Amino acid sequence: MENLARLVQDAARKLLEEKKVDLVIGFEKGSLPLRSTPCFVRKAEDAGKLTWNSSCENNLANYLRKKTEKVGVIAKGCDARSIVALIKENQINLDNLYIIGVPCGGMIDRKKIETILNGRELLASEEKDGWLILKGNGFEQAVRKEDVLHGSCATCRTGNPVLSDELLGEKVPEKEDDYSDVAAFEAKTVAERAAYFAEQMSKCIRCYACRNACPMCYCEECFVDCTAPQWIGKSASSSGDNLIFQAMRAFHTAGRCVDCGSCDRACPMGIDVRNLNRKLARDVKEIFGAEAGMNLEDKPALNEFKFDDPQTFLVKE
Amino acid sequence: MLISKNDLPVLLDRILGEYEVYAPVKEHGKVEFKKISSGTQVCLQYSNSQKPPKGILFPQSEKMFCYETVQDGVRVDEICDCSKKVIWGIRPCDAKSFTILDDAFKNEQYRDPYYYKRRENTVIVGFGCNRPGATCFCTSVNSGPFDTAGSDVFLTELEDKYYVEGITEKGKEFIARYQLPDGSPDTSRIKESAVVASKVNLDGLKEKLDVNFYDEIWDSLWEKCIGCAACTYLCPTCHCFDIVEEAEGGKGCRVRNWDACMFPLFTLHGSGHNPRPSGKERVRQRIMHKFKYFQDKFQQTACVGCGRCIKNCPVNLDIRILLDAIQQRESGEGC
Amino acid sequence: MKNLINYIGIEEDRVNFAWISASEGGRFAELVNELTEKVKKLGPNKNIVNKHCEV
Repeated sequence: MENLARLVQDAARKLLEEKKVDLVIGFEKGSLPLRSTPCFVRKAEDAGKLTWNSSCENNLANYLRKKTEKVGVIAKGCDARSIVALIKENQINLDNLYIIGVPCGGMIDRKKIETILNGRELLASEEKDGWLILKGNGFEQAVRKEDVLHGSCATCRTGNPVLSDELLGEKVPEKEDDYSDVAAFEAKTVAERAAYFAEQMSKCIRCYACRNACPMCYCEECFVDCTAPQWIGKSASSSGDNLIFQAMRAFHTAGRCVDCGSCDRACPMGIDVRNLNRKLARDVKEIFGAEAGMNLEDKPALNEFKFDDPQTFLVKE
Repeated sequence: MLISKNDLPVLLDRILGEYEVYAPVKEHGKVEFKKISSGTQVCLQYSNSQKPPKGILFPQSEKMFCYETVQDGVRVDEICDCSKKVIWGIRPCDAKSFTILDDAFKNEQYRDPYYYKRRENTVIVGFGCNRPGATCFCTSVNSGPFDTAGSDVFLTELEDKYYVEGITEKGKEFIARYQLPDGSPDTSRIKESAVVASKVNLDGLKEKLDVNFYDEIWDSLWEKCIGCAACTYLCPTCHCFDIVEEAEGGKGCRVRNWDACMFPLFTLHGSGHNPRPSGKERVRQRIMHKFKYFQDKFQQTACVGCGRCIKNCPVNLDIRILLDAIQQRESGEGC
Repeated sequence: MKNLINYIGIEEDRVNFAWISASEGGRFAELVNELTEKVKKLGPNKNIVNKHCEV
């Protein structure tokens, strides 16, 4: 990891020195233990601020839309897929972009760490050979990184960026598709599923952190903000409306969502936001054989119509 | 006065006979202020609640009144929450936040009936922090782990009991009713050991903000902000709201919901013009409102140093670092 | 969409899709009648609508 951080700094410095880009977007050390924070570097001498570790959780593709400068971006697997998906939607101009790809073995889930700490406060942390050392007042505990990976990282198959101008470090091993979580949830009854979502959505405070953290949620006017017509209520007190917000968001990102988990991570209330996106990613793959942001050639699944598309949703007669 | 920890649930049950009681309750690993039905639900072993308790007096969604068209016009039903409430065991930062909300909602010019009625009928029981958290910076904003501002009654945790002090007249009357054993233990050692490590230097900040509205520093400070409202909705002092109609057919309600200056819609005009077109203006507004405008108007900073925005920002945009950056900039530069 | 709706806990029969040409008035009426029957049988949707949670 330290080595990768140095490679990231070197690559960024070089790009800025050679004036290939005006800006490099990466991560720097955050203000809290186990946190990194997005960092915007415009001078070569500032490249030393950049870092790389298991807490570089944000999807930096989110910062690339509407950029007029020439931008270099440090992209892990999910960032790269989002970038590809955004290029296909004409939101990013590839000519103005330089992608520094970093193979990613997964980022940690702060909420899992919180559960392990169970109320104790984390004051410092260290990362070493696949282990995290959590330190606080009167305790020190080691946890295996793979046990605290975020769900989206644990099931991610594309840790190696699908598109990059240069690739740093060594590639991570490929993984198999695993949608067993979706299948397990589908096996529940309608009432059980409804009860689960009602409970989850009752926590929602409508801060829209999920939406704003999502690189694909870039509508000028989100349907929840419309007043004429007003599609759903503005109050946070209706778990039904909160669920409709999440379901519509999931539906709108179907075939576009790369399951980076940003929405889930951003939620301050710990709602299982990703559940719906996973379901749709699985369905899109199963029904249309498509996955978002895997390459520049495939059209986004829902932008295309084929005569032999399955139509299982039609009324059976 | 004193109450032993073991006797606390019984005391709360007695209070429940007369009041609605809101207290910290642990659910799914998170502590939130909830209306309790039994004293045993309360969990005082907590650092702070995820959501601020402001919602008890200023709910996120609140019906102001309901209406219905009837044969000869419109019938309006006013809604009044006149129940007597106790908020038990809130941290000094959150107790102080009510003094800030008071400025906004019951000042000389304007008195918000919804907030005001609840506030008048509520007894606030503050709870000193023996172990402040790493993101707490209350001592930097004229407060501290044992600040009694905003509390009617104040609890200090001792080994096996709580020391209960009446702070305001209302608070003294309230505890007198429950006839607790007398005692005034020495709490100085507890208070000394409660160190708030995190500091933000606010000296001269206001003077800088007075003149740096057009400073270039704002161009870069906001850059990573994604424009969500996690900071504002979890802030105990943010108090902006938006009023909407929730009506169907001939009847409905007027509802007010929390709103956030981080959203573009917050300032979007009907014409389509937006005076705060980007995150830059919105982040600046949030800082200015808390550390300048509110001070101009009410002579206090609209931040209590609870650290919720620091812990919950999806991109770790830390308000302490932001304020430091403003402080470090030479005044006049780039203006 | 139908899949998702069922996934979040709404009964499948509440939403239906069909191809109907503008000239097939009779078929349209038939399908709408069928659908209203199905939905009436299901009754009001209590899973999603009007679930107000406590503050």
